[in-house]
Parts: sequence; structure tokens; C-alpha cells
Amino acid sequence: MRLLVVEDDAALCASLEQALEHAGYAVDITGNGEDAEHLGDSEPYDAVVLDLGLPRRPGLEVLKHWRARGKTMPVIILTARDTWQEKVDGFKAGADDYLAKPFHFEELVARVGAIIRRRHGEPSGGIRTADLALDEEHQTVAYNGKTIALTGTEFRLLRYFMLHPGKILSKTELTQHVYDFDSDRDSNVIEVYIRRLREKLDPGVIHTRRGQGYVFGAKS
Amino acid sequence: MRSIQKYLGVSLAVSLVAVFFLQWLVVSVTLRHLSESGFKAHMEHNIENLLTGISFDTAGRLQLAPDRIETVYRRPFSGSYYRIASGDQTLRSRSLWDRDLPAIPDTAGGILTQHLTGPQSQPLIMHTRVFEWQGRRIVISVAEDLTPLEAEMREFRNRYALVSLAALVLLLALQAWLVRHGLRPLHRTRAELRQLEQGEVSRLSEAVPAELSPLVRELNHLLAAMTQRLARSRQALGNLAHALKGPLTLLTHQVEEEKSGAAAPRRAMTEQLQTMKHLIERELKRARLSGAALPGRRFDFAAELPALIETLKALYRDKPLAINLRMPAGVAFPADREDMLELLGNLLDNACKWGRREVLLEVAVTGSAVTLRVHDDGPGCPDASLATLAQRGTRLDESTPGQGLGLAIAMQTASDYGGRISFGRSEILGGFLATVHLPVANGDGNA
Repeated sequence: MRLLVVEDDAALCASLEQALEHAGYAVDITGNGEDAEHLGDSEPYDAVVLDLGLPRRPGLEVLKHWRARGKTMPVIILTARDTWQEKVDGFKAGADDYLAKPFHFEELVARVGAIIRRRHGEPSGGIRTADLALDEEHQTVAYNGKTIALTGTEFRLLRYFMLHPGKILSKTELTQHVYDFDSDRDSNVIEVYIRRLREKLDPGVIHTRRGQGYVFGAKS
Repeated sequence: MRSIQKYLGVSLAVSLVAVFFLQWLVVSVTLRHLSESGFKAHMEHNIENLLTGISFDTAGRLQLAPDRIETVYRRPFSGSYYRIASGDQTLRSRSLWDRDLPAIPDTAGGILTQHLTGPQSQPLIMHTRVFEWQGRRIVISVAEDLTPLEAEMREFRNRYALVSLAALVLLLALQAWLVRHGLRPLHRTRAELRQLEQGEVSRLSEAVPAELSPLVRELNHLLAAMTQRLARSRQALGNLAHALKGPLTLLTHQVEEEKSGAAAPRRAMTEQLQTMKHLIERELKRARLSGAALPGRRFDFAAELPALIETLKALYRDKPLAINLRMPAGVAFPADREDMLELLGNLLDNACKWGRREVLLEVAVTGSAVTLRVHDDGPGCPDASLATLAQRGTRLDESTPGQGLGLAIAMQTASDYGGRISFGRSEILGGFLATVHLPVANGDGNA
């Protein structure tokens, strides 16, 4: 899961990045509206945390532009003013959730998880499939009654698979959603992580489609 | 303050009447004078004519040649008379019959004209000349009846007065129209001011006469300055909030993350941070209430309420809550959008918080007021607490942050708009009911 955090307070932004990475997300950050809009247009983010009071271009305008161009990733807006007018305008512009400053980081992390799950039709609780239940808080997965610990990348990868069951996912797509902008994006590394997941869980959990990519949970 | 229209109307009417009266007077006098001059010339001629017929016989008796006596002098009381005197001899026209004209002494010099009452009370004008001929003095007086002239003059005066009166009435009507027409820009501006108050326009049209132009320009300038100042102060508040709340979020996070060190100072810091957060929150909310509507602002219920309800649905999406809206078509109200959204947002938020399955917003317009009712099907509020609830909102600075602040803000906003909020139990849904009455300045809420 890859996130974009747009916040012009550099210290707050860095802390948010840290907290969200800790929660198992690949995070890109930017401090102004123009760059944010550009990043949102070019990168396949799974969710965006967008501050409204931004230099160069207001957050609301950035959001409107994304929606006008058909960008549908879920967006949580952050605002300092917390007025109903801002809430109404934010939702009208296409926001999915709203958080007023000051907020607790736990609240933000929970809401980011919630909008991503909601986007994938998992309205409440954790992400689960027939025999797997992902614990996002502890970054573990329950499988056949066992709790298996996952590394950060393994967790991100498995979460992305579990949110897209039965869909062919290319190595490129997986790389884009599992790593942030600054990471070394060698798509071959993905193979290593997929092998590890298969070892930890069951080899049949992830299928390889030669020349196309991988499919999660589909018996072929 | 007297009306300009009345003032102009009355003073113009008075001056018109004065001018017409003066004109009538001057024309009448001049005409009479001219007519009399004509008479005098005629009588002068008659005198000359009589003079040529005068002679003295050998006995020194005064004689007048009969062929010099015009027929009018022969007909009794014809209105034309003469009297010729020389020494103690007198010749009178036959028309005088048994009457006489006043004797003028031959010592009188030159030409003499006088008005007198003649036979049969005829108003006469008499013209007299004294001649010296063959060593004798001859006094010739000729008199003419003025009755026909007087009659003609009277008729002229009446006709002239009538025409003048008609012209006066016409002019008065014309000037009344002109005054009204000339003042029409004032009415237009007044109508625009009303529109401004209703929020239909945001500035006055500057296409006004030169006299009004500075006033309208100043007014527009004031409006712009006011709008700008409010926008700026809100902007400043937003910036301040933004500048403070970022670090505050971070600080709270860092204190919570700080696992080393004693728990007591950490708790104390958390408490202080919490207090700071509430202080900022409260002051922001208090300061942002703008009061009455900004010029040119209009809150369109039909356009805004669905968006607000969608927002609430999104915020309470995890709750199986139906938020319904009952509203007549085309309700708009001169109010600031932010204020109205804050008022309704807080009331609806409260209802959504407590409601179990349904929340209802009713909008009703009655002549001079807009009534908003927010119902929910929650537990409601015990009657005993309703009074406390109403009180809490009256003093915003004493209210506990978080709890009841929303209602307090709603109450403050309503009172800033000259309205009020009452609380009770909803008869429709059985839960809490908040009723807001907002008076509409000038006219109804429908537009």
C-alpha cells in the first residue's frame, strides 16, 4: 500500500511519514500543492492524506483537479480550521474522510486503513479471506489458527494481494504499490518476497501466471 | 427630514404661480395703457377737427361750423362729447343733452387728460386742450365713453387668466413629472439597497446621476472594504490555526511516544496540550462568528443543504442512519454561508450523534421568518436538563470545550442573526428536537 502525504509543516510531515511507515505503508511526502497534484497524477497511490492549507496551490483545488481528471484514490483531508463549510466543501470536492487538527496519529492511521478497506469493499474490521486474517495493527496474519509475523515489505505485499483477490497483478504494479518513490525499485526483489510469503503461508496462496504476473487466492 | 420631491414640487409651484400672476398683471396694465393711448390719439384728432370748425362772428360770438360736427356728437348720450369754451361762452355737444362736462379754466396750460363719470354713469376719459386764437383763449374738451373698452378689457383679462391658469396647471403637472422623473435614480438606488440587504446583489450599480455618484461609489467602497476585512480576518484566523495546530499535533504525538521518563510530567504535559487545543478551538469558533449577513451573501437552502447532508452521511457512514430533508422549493435567506453551515452542521451533527436510525431536518418559511427543525430518534433530553442546555449556550466562554460547544455555537449564530433556538422533544421521531427561528429582514424568505 502506497500513500501520499501532503503537509506543509515539515516536522509534522516527517512524523506522519514515520508513523505511517511504521503502520506498514510505503509513504511519499510533499509540502506543496503543485508537487502534490503532479505526484497524484503520475503515481498509483492507494490513498492520500491531504492538508487543505498548502502553499502554491490549495489542497481543495488539488483534490478537485484530481477528481476532474478521473483520479479516484481515496483521500483524507486534514484541516486546521474545522468548520462545517470546510467539511462540506471537502466532501463536495471528492474527499473520502476528514480529520481536524490537532489529531492523534493513531486516529489518522486507523482512518487511512478504513478508507483503503472501504475502497476495496471491506467496510469494517480487518482484511480477511477464507483462510487468512490480516492484523494490521500488529502486522501479522492468522493462518490455520497460527499467528505468523510478517516483515514490513511482506505485510505490504500480502495486504495488497488480499485487497485484490483473483486479479492478475504484474510485478510492476506490485512494486509501485509496495515501495515509496525513493526506494530502489528492482522488480526482481518482488519475486524474493513472494517466495517468502509462500514459504510462511502455503505455496498455493499465490499463483504465478507466466508472462503476466501473480494471482492471489484463485485456484487454477 | 423633508422630502426632496415635496420641497421641489412646492417651491416650483409657488414660483410658477407668482410668475404667472405678475405676467397677467403686467399684460393687463400695459394693454389698458396702450388702449388709452389709442383713445387719446383719436380724441386729439377730434379736437383738431373741432378747432378747424370754430369761428367768431362779427359780434364776437363763438360758432361751430355744423359740417364739422360728427354724427356721434348729435346723438344723445352716444358716449362721445365735446365742450368748447371761450371766455364766458360755451358750446356743448348735443349728445350731452342736459348735462355738462366739467369746466376747465383757460389758465390751465397745455394738454389735460382726466377720468370722470359722465352722463348715465358712463366712465369717461376727457381730453382737454387750450388754444389761443385771434387773441382769445379757447378751451376744447373731448370726452369718450370707456364702457366698451372696459368690457373688452374685462373679457381679455378673463380670457388671459383662463389661458394662464390652464398653462399653469399644465406646467405644474409637467414639473411634478419632471421632479419624479429626476428623482427616479434615487428610487432605483433604494431598490438596489434592498436587494443588497437581501443578498441578491453584492454592490450597487454605479450608473447613477453625477449627484448620486459619489455617494454610491463611497458605499461600494465601504462594502468592498468590509467584505475584504472580514475575509482577511477569517484568513488570518485560518492561518493562525494552521500554524498552531500542526506543531500541536506533533507535540502531542511526541509526548505520547516518549516512553522514557516519569509518567507524571508526561501526563501534565498532555493535559496542558489538551488545554491549549481546547483554547485554540474555542477562541477560533468564537472569533469566526461574523454576525449578520455580509452584504451580497445569500444562503440558498436548496443548493447547500443536500451537500451538508451528504457530508454528514459520509461522516456517519458506519451508522445505519437515514438523514431526511423536508423543505419547500426555492428557499433562500440573506446570510453568510459559513455561518449557516456552522449552525445547521452543529445541530445536525448533534442529532446524528444521538439519533439511532433517523434524523430529520425540516425547513419552513412563514412570512417573516425561516424556521428550521432538527429532529432525531435518540434518547432525547430530560425536561429538567433542557433549561440548563439553553443556558449553557448563552455564555459561550463558560461552556466546556467539546461538550455542548456545538449547540452553543449554533445558539450564538442564531442570536447574531436576531433569531433564537429552543430545545424540546420531537413529536415526529421521539428524540431530541432543536428549533431555530431566524427572522428575515424585509420581506419573505422566498426569492
